[in-house]
Amino acid sequence: MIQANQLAKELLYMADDEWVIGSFLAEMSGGGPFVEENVAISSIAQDEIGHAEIIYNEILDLDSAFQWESADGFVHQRPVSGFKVSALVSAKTIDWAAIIVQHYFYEAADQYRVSQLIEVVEGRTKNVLGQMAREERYHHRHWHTWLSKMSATLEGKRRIQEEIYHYWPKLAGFFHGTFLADDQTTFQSVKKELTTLGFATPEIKEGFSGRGVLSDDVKLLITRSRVLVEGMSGGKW
Amino acid sequence: MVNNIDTVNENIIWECLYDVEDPELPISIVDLGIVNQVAIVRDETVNNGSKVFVDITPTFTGCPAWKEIEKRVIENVSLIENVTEVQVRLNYSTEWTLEKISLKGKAKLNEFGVAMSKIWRGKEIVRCPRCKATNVSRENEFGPTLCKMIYYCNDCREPFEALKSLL
Repeated sequence: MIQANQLAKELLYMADDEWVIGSFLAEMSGGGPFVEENVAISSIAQDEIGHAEIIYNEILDLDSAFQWESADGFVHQRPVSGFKVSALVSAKTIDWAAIIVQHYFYEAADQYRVSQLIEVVEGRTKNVLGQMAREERYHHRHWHTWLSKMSATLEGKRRIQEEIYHYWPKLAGFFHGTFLADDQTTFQSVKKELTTLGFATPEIKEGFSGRGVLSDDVKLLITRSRVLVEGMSGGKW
Repeated sequence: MVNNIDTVNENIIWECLYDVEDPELPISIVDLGIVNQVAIVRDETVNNGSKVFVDITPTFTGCPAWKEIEKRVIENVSLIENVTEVQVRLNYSTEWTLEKISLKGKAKLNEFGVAMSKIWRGKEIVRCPRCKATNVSRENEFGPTLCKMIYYCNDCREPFEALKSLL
C-alpha cells in the first residue's frame, strides 16, 4: 500500500508535467502548420492545464504539507525548486517534428502512469483519473496520427527519426525515481508502434529523468505566469 | 424543536437549474445531463433556512466553463426563498456521456447545428444536423470547446460541430 505523502509526490510529478506541457503547447497556438491543427493544439493544451488544476486540488486534500487555498498556490507561491517536471517535458521546442515526437512520447508515458495510479488510489482521485484517461486517449491518437502522416514522405520520416533519437533517453528515464521505476511497458508499446510505422528505435534502456532539473524555459514560464497574476488582480492561469 | 421537514422544495430547485444555460452549448445544464443530484439540508442557524448542494459532473475534467457554471447555479438557486447557502460540488463518481443529454436537449443542439456522434459496430456515425446526411468527413477530432469535434458535410457542403462520444 502506497503512503499518502508518496502518492502526493507522484501526483505532483503528474500535475507539474501536465501544467508545463499544456502551457508550452498553449504558446504554440497559432504556430501550428495549419488552422485545424491550431484548433487541436489549443484544445489539447486547455485540457492538460485543466488536468493540472484538478490534480493540484487533489494533492491539497491528500497531503497537509501543502497549505495553499487552491491549485493556484502550486503555480504562484511554491518555491521554483519545488517544481518536479521531467526532462521529456522540460525541453521546450518550436520545431514541429520535435513537438510531435515529444508529445507522442509524453502521452504514451502519461497513459501508463495514469493506468498505474488508478490501481493505487481510492475514492474521488480514482474517479478523476479514470475520466482523464478517456480524454487523454484523444491526445495520444492525435500525435500518433501525425507520426503516421509524417512517415509517408522521406523528408518527414528523416525529421521524425532524428527527433526519436533525441527524445528517446528522456522517455527511457521518465519513470526514474518514481514508484513506477522499473517498468518497461510504455517502452515496449512505443517501440512496437514506431516499428510498425517504419521508424528505427535505439537500444538505450537507461536514459535519464532529469526530474526537478528545470530548463530556462520552465523557469521563464513560471516567472511569466507570476508576473501576469501580480499585474492583474484576481487573475488566474 | 428540530423540524425535519424541508423548507425548500426540490422540484423548485430543479426548475431553477433548468434555467441555467451551459456557457458553451445553448441548452440547459439539466438537459445537458451534467447535474446528477440535489441535496437539501436544514440550516439550523436560520429560521426556516435550508442549504442546497448541487452535484455536477462536467463533460470534460479540464472544462474551463466549469467556474462559470458554478457561478450561474449559485446565482439562480440563491433566489429561491429560504435558501441560505448554495454549494456546487464536482462529482466524478459517475461519467458524463452523450446518453445523459435529454432528447429535448439533443433536438435543440441539432437545431443549433451541433450533431451527436455514435459508435455503432465500432464505427463512428455522425449525421449532418442540417440535411441529415451521413456522407460527412471529420475535419478535426478537436474543436472550439473540449467536448466538440469539427465535421464537414459532403452533401450540403457545410461545416458543423459534433459532440465527442468519449469512447
